[in-house]
Amino acid sequence: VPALRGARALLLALAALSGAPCWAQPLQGPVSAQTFSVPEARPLDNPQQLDEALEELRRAAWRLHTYPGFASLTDVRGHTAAVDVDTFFLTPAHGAQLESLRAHVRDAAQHGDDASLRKSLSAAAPLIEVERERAAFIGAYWTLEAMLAHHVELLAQLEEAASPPERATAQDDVERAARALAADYGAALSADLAPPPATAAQLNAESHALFKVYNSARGKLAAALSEDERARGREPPARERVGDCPAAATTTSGSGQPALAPGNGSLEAVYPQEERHYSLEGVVVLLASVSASGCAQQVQVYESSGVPALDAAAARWAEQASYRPAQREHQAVDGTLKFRVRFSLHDEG
Amino acid sequence: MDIRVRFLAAALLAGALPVVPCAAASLTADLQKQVRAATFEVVIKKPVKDSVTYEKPPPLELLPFVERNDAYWPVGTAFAIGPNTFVTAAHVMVLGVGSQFGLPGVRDSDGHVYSIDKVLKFALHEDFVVFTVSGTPSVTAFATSTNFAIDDAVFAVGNALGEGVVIRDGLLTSLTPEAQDGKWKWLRFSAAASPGNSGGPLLDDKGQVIGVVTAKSPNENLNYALPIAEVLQASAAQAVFDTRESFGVAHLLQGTIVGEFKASFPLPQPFAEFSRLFQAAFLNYTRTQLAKLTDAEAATLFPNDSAKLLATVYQSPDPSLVTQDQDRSWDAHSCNNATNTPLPGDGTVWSCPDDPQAVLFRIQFPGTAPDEHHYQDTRELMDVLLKGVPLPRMIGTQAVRITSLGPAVSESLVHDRFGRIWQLRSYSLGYADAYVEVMALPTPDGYAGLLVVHPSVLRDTVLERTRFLADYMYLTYTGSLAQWRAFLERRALRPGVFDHIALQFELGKGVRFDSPRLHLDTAGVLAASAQSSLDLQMTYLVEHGALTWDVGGVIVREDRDKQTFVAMYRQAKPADDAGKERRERWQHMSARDGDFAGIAGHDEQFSNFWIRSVAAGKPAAADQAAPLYEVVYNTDNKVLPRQLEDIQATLAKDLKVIE
Repeated sequence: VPALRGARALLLALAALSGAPCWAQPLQGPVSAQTFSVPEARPLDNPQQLDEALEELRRAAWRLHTYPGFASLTDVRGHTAAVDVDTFFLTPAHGAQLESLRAHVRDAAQHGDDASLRKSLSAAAPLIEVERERAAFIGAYWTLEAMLAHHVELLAQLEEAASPPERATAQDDVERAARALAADYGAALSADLAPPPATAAQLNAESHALFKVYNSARGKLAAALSEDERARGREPPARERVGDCPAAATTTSGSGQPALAPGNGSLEAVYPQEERHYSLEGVVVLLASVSASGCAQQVQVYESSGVPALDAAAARWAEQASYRPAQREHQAVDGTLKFRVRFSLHDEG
Repeated sequence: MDIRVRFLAAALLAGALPVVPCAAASLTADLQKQVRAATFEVVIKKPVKDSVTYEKPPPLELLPFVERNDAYWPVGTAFAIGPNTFVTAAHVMVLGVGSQFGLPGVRDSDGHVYSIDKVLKFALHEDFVVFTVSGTPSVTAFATSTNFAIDDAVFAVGNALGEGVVIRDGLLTSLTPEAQDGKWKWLRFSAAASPGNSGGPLLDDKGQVIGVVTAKSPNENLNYALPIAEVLQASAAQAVFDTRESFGVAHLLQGTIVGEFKASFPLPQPFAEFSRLFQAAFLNYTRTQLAKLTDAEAATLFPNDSAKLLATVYQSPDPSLVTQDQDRSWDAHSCNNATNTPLPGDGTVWSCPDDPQAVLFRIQFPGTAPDEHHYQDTRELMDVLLKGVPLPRMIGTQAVRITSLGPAVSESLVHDRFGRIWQLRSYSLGYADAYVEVMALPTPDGYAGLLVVHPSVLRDTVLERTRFLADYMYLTYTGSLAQWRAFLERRALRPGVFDHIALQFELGKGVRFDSPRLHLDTAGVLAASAQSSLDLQMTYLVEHGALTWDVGGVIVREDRDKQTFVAMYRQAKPADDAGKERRERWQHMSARDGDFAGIAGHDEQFSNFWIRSVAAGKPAAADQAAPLYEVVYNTDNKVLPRQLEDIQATLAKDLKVIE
């Protein structure tokens, strides 16, 4: 993480994860890290600019408070975004301080007292900066919460079908991680100062860890459920080829099993945008029926990632990939290949 | 009723119609002289001076010479059929009934006017009247004849267009059965007839009366006369009313009935007594038909088919009427063509001419201080109304604005179905022998009401309709807190429903509103000032099977010109046919979700902020749903969400739904 201060660092880190940030109108549709970012710092040279800055803070309070994407969220502390805004943003004490400075500034401007004007403006600037960063910090945290909610929902769907011990393990893992994130966030906001850079970086790391926990818990559950299904004799969900086959393979795999040909397209191209936004990662195990000409006639999701969109993307990729067919008695023959497709946003091996 | 109103009004205010030039046949010079001597103009006295004031002296010089110098209105023609026995059309004589300026009369060619004395015979449907006059004029009466044949030459004699008595010729063209029951055959003739000809004689070529000219055939030359035999043979003992027409209350009710006007009273009668009996018969007819109509329509009358209205509380500081739509459902409809006229200061006169027969109005007097004078001064009320309700006098093509009608000539109180007390005030529109009638409902900051203009003769009948409409007026009562205090103390004029309402406030402190349904206190949320106002939105409720009218919404505004207010809006459980919007609203209120989740909100401009919650009442009966109240705090102050949440908490402590 670059050496940036406070919430901005967190935001930029999120931005690096999921695209360029943009200020600041709430967007409709799925919450993304693009939704909130810190307002631009503005010059603070006269009473009007102070009024504008304070009005901007007030509007930020309303935006965070009423943003529909946060409306249904409650975190492990039992807080909502609205409660965080009410509790931590522009607190009565800070508000009174700022109002008193505003009065001084007006008074000084009226009496042409330039020195006093500058003094009050300089006193207001850091206070405004604190609030600005808090707005961004709250926005970033609840954006993470909204992303997590998506993870939670996917996991909950799987948990319904899972056996009690599997469910309990998954719940334990995620709850521990969520609690850690919320506790550090709460502590950072409770401090009567701007969130220190270390906390922002820490939160950023924790949020990544949290997504990882969710991805992993969900992946485990999904794999177990796929196995249960197979054990009950149910065929894995299959996707029949829809398009033309790629050019016929010129070489075989040299074994009884087909193999992926070198030079297939990168997974990057099929990684769905929304799943990227939500930091949804996973492993899909596919079963491809490869013809003697090296064409995947059918692709089955042998083991789900727990994210339907990732499963579908993997199957799509497998369908348009080139294969080397299986070989028996020096002849290319039909065969089946089982392989893993791993969607990962971080190069963590 | 509507048709009749229009018919009579048209007769009174008729404009010029084409005059057909004379043709070949003619009476001898001697006969012409006799005819003129036995034919009279029917005239109504004009006021010598009336109480109307204009924005500028009316350009009376634009009126025709004769008209502006005549002390009388010529309204038709009469003729003598015996010594002091005259005949005219019933509809001509009726124009003099109820006149503000004395008895109608007949005028001879020398300009001598004889007042009508007694009515001897009268038949409304046949459209004739036989009468005597005071101060017996010496006149040789017409001979009458019942012998006529198609294509005979005939002469229509009359006071065409007020030009004095003229004789015009034509042919008897056909005999047409009377439309209602075929009781007689109209004489149809091609001699020209004009407004003013009505009541004149139709003569044969010997100068004998064969008919009474009664009606013009529109756009063609086939006019109508009643055979004189109908007059001669008619009973001299009774005035007879026997007409049939479609009867309804246009603009309000969809249904109509066949109105049967069957009545009689004994004759002869002095004209004044005849007038009284005539008006009583007409009023009785109107009342009977209204009763018959409401009886016939009982199954569709409000509050039947009113589910949406009963589940809605409208903000309607400008009054509206609850009217029936084509699908027979009832709802309050806001005005389509309203005008708003500012008064000096910050008052307004609002008016709505959607119903051509009754102008809906609202006056908001300037300022926020109560003023008893406004509710007592009849002259002021009309003077103020005239600033916003256009009531010009047409002189030629010029519309001259009327600025005052003077004080009301009569005043009374009318209680409507919901216990509202209306000040009914009549003003004379002298130059037209008409009245301007105002049904005014006092409100804290002014008036809401209905204004009607009608010829003097129709007064009672028109008022009956206006009273009927008054029951259907929908409105929100508005005013400053001080005006409300005065209004609630003005016991003689306040509706009964306000007897149980208490309003307490002190400047700089909260406003307390108490009714049998609600308790609301704005202390700590909103402080009273001289600019503070209260709106009470009135609504209809069906409770224990009965329709009542009560407060459905309470809005306390910090400053009547700004947007900081506390409001409570009643929401009755909507019936299944109240519409999707109402039902969804109820569901969200019941579940406290959607708009009613108690979450603060703001508009796109960040200029208006609100917080909304729901308070519940107790069910009136075990099987009924308790009404819910939407509780809103709205402000245009620069606030943070936290502040609205605090306000909501404070408000909730001092708010109680009692019903």
